[in-house]
Amino acid sequence: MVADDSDYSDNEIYDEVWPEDYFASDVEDCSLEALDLNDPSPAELVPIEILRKIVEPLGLRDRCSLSLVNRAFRKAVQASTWHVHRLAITSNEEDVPRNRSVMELSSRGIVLPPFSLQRRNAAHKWSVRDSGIEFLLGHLVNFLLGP
Amino acid sequence: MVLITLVSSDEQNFPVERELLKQSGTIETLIVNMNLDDEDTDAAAMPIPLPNVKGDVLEKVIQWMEHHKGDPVKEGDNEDNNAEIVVPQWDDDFFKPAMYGSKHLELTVAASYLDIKNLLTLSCKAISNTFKGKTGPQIREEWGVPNEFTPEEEEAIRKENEWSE
Repeated sequence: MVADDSDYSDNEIYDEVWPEDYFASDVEDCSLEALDLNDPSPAELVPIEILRKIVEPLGLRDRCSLSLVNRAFRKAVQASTWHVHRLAITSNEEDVPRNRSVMELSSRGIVLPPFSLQRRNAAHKWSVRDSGIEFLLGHLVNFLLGP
Repeated sequence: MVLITLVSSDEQNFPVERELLKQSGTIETLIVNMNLDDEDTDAAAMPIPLPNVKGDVLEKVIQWMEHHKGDPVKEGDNEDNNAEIVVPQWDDDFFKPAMYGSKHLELTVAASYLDIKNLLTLSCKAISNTFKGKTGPQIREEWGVPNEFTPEEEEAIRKENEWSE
């Protein structure tokens, strides 16, 4: 098969020089300063999506522990989503349309306003355990009743 | 068998079986768009530069793709509930030598850049597993992460979190 290259010049196809931005990563818009780990070199940039993928399988206590590791993980914890069966519960409105489960069951998608972990009140005290759902119910109660 | 050459950021060449590269959304799109797997064109001989992936990391990625050759490739956004994903024994052993090191994170970032969804998911889950049951300072110590927080900030975060204990 011969490629249809009628729209291109030979140089564009065969000069073995790729456009400078062809492979450019587009992580700038969603990146955080990442773990320095064992590398003493300047901190790399790790997309927040990766940090969130690391955070999201974890329960409440582990997420709280991670928020103490460094600022990047703290932000990832704050932006993370909870998956409870087919529900996606998140403080990130952008997450909802991208989530397959929520797209299939749109009426079950819940978006919580941004919240911080320090909102302590009676509703939290009885509800929080390391399973995630109690944590979210606590925030829902808070959200519905106000601060 | 069609071989396609990948070139890492440190200019190491890796001839890779074309079939394996179907696991990488980034490379697959490039191959299809540029007819790089069409042996009748000069384009087939063109190496693919990957300036964001170092040679030693790319070698690990290829090793992982070789083991997972023929596995179904996930399509679209990977929005699975990662909490339910179990890292298979082979993958767990594969990640272990890199645990608690920047190499594991580099491998994860490369998986994201190359859009290898299964590798990204498993690698992230393997990292998550190492965090379970650990305190923030323990994780920092194991991963060699410097403490960015002032004592006051750290105390404030602890107070934010103490209701969860």
